[in-house]
Amino acid sequence: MGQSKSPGAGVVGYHAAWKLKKQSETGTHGLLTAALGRLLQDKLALLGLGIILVVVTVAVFAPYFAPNDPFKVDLMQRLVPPQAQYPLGTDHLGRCLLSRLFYGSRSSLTAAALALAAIMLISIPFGTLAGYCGERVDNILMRIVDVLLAFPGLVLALVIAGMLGPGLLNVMLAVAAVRWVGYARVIRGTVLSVKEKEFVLAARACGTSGLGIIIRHILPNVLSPVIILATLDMGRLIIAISALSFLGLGAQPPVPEWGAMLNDGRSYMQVAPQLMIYPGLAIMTVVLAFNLLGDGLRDALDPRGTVRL
Amino acid sequence: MSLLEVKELVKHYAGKRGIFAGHQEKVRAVDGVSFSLARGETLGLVGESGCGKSTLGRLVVRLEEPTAGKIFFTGEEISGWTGRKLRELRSRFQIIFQDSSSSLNSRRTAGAIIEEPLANFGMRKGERRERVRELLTLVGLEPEHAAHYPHEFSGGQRQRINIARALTLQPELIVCDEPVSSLDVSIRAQILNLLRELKKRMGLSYLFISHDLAAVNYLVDRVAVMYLGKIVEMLPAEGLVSQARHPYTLALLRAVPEPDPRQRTGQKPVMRGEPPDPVSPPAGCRFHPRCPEARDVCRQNEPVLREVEEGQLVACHLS
Repeated sequence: MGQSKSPGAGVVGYHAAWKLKKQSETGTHGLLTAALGRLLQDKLALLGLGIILVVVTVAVFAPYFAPNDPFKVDLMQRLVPPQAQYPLGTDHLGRCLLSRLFYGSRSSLTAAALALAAIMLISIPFGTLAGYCGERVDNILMRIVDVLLAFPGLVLALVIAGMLGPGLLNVMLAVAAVRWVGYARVIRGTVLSVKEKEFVLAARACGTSGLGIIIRHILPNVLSPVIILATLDMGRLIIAISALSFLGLGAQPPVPEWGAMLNDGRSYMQVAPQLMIYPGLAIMTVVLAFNLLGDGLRDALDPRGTVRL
Repeated sequence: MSLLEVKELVKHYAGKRGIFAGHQEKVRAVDGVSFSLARGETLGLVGESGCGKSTLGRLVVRLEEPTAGKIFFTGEEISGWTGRKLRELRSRFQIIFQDSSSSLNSRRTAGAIIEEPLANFGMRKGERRERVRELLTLVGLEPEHAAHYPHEFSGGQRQRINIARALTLQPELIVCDEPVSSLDVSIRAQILNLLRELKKRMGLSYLFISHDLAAVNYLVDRVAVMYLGKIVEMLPAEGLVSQARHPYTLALLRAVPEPDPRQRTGQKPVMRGEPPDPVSPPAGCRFHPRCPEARDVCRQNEPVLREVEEGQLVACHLS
């Protein structure tokens, strides 16, 4: 670019100006770091994250935190109010309520997380295929989704769980079998909009294969709505699993699970309301925490940065 | 032999369908377009938005499937090619889009974006890095910019990245689909200069799509004016102002703002209204409802593109 008379000489001249502009900008850091930075400024999201971290820690280290053995039945100590040995009292079989709550967080969280993994496993390929292939494939796949969506979710899950038989694993599968359709729809919609973006056309124009386009360009751009949806939905999954457990389809006694504990405490609500209050509070807190984090993530992961209210 | 030849190219999109099935509306985006482009030549394609010029550009680089017609590239018919054969061919022509930000994947660095075509065509990693640095310098950016994400660049810089990506595979033809329309006026000149210099250096041919006659005049050798899916006039760029004959071309020329107030003629724009719906183009000459000189013959017969002078083709009954 040396020749001074060619129109290209102007190109050299502008160089210095860009250099200045480049230095004035924030510098090199990845999008994820930027997103994390935004998340760290969102106090409500941090609160949610904090609660989740605490609950996860409790779940992982339940044996260390629990004051008593959650399975130890002591019929002499039935339905005792909170006291030094039993910080939240005992249930109808004289088991420590707090210890059961701690152990119960294990079942509830793992069940919800595994259900979520199953949902992803089905919905990502399904939604991507429908959105990317379009036309007939899309039509067929989306009609399947429509049919599934026409059923009331919890009732359908109830039927599936009933057919599979009681048990936490079956409840997870039942919830996943009902919930994946919503994800598939969101993913398909996002894929549809990303597919039309010019950078996808440009990738096609420079010889990237269909699979390469999906992996390199479409999926990374679909990911953030999916993460947001998943975090927001974690709460609902926990509720759904607890609800099925409450109905007796999920965790089987004596395994502690929040929904099942609610059911156990139901008959004693008049004499020992703490049997329902604490598991209920636990579910509510965790669900709230996931919703707060989900909202925060939605704001943080949008590369353009949204106005926070 | 011309580098690119397009014969009777047609692209119809499926439009609305009636509730009771029956007939399907067709949007006639490109409706029988023929032209050829010599190696090293730049053809400007101008027209209002919605006249099918972008569709034509995408058809040429095979991002859209033509409904009918043929595309020849260096004498070979490529319009039917698919799959692997087509992907191999893609290194020979590239496209630069109008929107500099939506044509870059915001989750990949500039380096990764420019590198992608090279990876597709099997270049080794070390060589790719080297080539990316070269290309960044070539389009007037710094090699260090490779590590930056698109949102860290300005609009003009982003368009430079787009240009770099298009150049990676050393194509013979680049379709520039309004490459400067989304940029500030001050940046436009820089990008146009860059395109012009690259053309000279690398012996490129451009199909330069624009609605900006000034930009076209600066860069191109020949101009094709499109109206509602058809080419209505084609002429050498230097004759654009003096030689243009089609009333539509004249109207476009008159719509260019005149910067010097003493030069202003006070003439009102001759064209009124919007271009008609491409679903049902008017009978006869497609321009007749807006043409100030329309006669009876214009309403009945569609004029054909014919040579009126050496190198100038016009589709108008009156010229």
